[in-house]
Amino acid sequence: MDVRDSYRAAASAALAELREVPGIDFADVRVSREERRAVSLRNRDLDELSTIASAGVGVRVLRGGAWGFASAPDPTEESAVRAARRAAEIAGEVARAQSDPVRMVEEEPVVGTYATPLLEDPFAVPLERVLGDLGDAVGVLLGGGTPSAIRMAIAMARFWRSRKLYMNSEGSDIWQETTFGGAGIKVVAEAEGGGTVQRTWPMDFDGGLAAAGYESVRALDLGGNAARLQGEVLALTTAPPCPAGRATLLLDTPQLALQIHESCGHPTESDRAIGEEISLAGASFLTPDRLGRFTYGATRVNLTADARADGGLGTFGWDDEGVPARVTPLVARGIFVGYLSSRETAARLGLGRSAGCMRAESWNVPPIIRMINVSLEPDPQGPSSLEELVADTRDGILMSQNQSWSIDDLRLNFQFGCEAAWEVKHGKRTRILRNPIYTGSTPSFWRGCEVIGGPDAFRLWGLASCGKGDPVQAMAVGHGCAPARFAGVEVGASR
Amino acid sequence: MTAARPLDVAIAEALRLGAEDVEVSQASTTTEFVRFAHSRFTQVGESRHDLVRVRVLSGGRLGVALCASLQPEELRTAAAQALAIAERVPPLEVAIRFASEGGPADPEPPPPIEGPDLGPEELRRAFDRSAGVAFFGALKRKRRHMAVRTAGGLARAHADQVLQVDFIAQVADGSGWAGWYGPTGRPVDLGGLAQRAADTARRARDPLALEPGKRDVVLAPAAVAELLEWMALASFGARSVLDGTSLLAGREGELLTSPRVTLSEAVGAGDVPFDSEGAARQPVDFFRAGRAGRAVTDLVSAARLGGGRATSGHAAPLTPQMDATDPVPSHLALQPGDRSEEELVGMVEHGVYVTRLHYVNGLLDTRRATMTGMTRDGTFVIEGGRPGRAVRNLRFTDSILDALGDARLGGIGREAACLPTWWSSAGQVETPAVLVKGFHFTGTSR
Repeated sequence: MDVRDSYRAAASAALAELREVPGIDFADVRVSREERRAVSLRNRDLDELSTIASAGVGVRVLRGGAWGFASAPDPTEESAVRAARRAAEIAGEVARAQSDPVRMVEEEPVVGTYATPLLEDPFAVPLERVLGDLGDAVGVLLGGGTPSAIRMAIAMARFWRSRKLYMNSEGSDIWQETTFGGAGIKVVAEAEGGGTVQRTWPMDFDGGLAAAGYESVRALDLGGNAARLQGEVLALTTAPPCPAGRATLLLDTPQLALQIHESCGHPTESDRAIGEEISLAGASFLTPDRLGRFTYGATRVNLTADARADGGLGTFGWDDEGVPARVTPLVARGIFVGYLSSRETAARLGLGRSAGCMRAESWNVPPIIRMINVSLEPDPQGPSSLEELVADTRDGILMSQNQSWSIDDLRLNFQFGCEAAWEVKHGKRTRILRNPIYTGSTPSFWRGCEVIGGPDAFRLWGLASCGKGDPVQAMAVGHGCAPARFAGVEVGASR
Repeated sequence: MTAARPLDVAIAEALRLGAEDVEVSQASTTTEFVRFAHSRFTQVGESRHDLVRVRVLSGGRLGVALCASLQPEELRTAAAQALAIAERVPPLEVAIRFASEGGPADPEPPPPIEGPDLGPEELRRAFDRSAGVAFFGALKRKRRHMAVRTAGGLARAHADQVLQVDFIAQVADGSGWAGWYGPTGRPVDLGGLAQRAADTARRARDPLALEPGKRDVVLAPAAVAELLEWMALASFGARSVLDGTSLLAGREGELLTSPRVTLSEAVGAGDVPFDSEGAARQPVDFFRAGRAGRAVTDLVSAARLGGGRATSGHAAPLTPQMDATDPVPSHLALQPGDRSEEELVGMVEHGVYVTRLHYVNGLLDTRRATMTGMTRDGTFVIEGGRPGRAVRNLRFTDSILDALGDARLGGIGREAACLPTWWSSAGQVETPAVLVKGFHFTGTSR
């Protein structure tokens, strides 16, 4: 029996068990195996090299109008039946303590398969080659000898793969194989006068991730970017701090991706909007009464949730309640028009259908509403590169790569710190500035968006560690954007 | 079969394949959770994971593989993968050996104390005691089992149960928080907690807009805990000292804060007594009477630091995300002072009381512990030594190292609260309230 058949046998056994339980309104079963590989070098030494494999069953039951969830390690029929019984028992307990029943919008049952398109399976790439690619980049970051100011250089690569069977009581039967991963580099130097400065490519923590094979690492050109990073970090060691005041702000795509994540992705999550995440991650200023009428940003601002985007970490065939990958406008011509939703929140908010955003980190936790690929649409007439945007700017500050992030519990007041900034005067980058921060309120910031780059400057980035839920779950999401410019933003330095 | 025996399968397999030394650690957790919003249950379930990490040494090379199963076949596969990795990587630049003694040969940890059943029905009764209040939050009971065994004969195991409850109450535009964390055997008054959150929410209605600026502030224990956690994440692990980004790096023995500040890694009755390498957790001072101490270590980082350092027993915990690799504290404790929280408030003529913080980030300048974040769930003005009207949530951006300096530290409370860490499933912070002068509020939520 191949793995797909054995998973189907386990899921079928769970659903058969639940057919014998009175009061079941809906049930779904996920049987999956996830694998991860992590490799990192620190100053030419091997810092981490490990693999993890995890397999099991998660069962969600709606009984008497109340949810129950249970999971069991090992993807066997016995585990699946055990989890099904426990989920039904929990749902029964909840139903006794609650009178307000859960409702879900309809969704057509589906039988299908999906696989991430790969050119080169990252789990089949010889370890020696991965170590060689990372070692070459670290070598460039450190230079021939280590420049005295440089304290640390890191190169890392990580890959994830999931094989998952989803079945539900309505007849859906879905097999998906998703793969994503990538690499990143970082260099830290000691600044004059104390403190440290850093440069990363393309992002700190997660690196540059894509739903793709090892070809995504090659596309990052770690070696070429390492040389640039080394020069920039050494320049930062003696750079002046970013001056404080109101300025025209230019953001590169890695930083703008995080801005989208925090100030658009999270506040358009419908569970936050109806208060279900208040206790941990907070709520949202994008309340249901504002849907379709609130001016979120300038008319050139269009933000879209798209689970079909090529290479996105939020790309799949179906979400974790069997809803097909969809495209949902969130902000159209500056107006807030859509939510990231589930079958349940779509019913509660009268949205008609789910946006297909129910995702679980693994088999052992229930799916919750997560971002998919939430992207800022490029302006067809916009500049075709970051340098063209700079050339179009008379006076501004360009900030690059995130270093710190914070936003309030309604997703309004934010403050981001970046690794580096450049003063822009008369269309040219002039001096480099260290420890830049910018702060603002979400709608004011996006209403001040005065230029968005064009399709040629658009880049889809991935974040693998978005935390949400309780117990907390990490999720991989995608954000695409072209560089953009914002008027009247409060900027300064963190030190 | 005892819980430790499956680990021997991995040890035997790795030795059979030629490993010179083997360490196998296990972290199994079952979490029962009840989440609620608007006093309605939204997610209720039981989540289980078993994690086993196999580490092998071969020719000075270290190989690591993890699996999420106690099945013999999976454990043997993980052992083989760890060895395959060890055979293909460069040698470690430092020499280490896995632990070889500790605990009885075949430990069976005593069963944890079962607390009373607490679930939706008990929560419903707690909600009903505060009419007109909407409750949000979660109740979580974690059953944890940790074990470590090595080829050299070390065998340690531990089992416990902890309960965490968080209530956020909303009354109109007012919000309040109350929480509890500790072993399941202790009595928990759910109704009393809910009422405390509700009382704060009622006081927090109709908040004033307060202009940003420097203000004296009393930070309640939950707010202090989050700042200390960030300081620990950025600076109290050996990795950050090696990188030079820690505020402790190169400063051991220097007076960095007020002499009234002693901040330590404590080892208490409720803590897991060993780390994921099987090393006994040692107490470590980060600040002793204001003077900089040392960071916590694991086997490799202690060797890299040199100078004869041994592990302090703080290897990163095993997590399903495989995202923790640096040594971290697990029980931060700020030594209490001699004033009640009420007395601290009484010392402030014009200031702000902060119940809790939201989305703090401590990476702005780790050498000075410069952080930013927002207040939430109950922020009040203090006038004439008494708490007054609620104010809108405020953003702060400040150096916490400076805030704890003698010039700005106004006082430390005497009653410490115990709060769970968010970076680990097995950590806690024990801290009283703190009075800081001139805390820098840099923005406000509108």
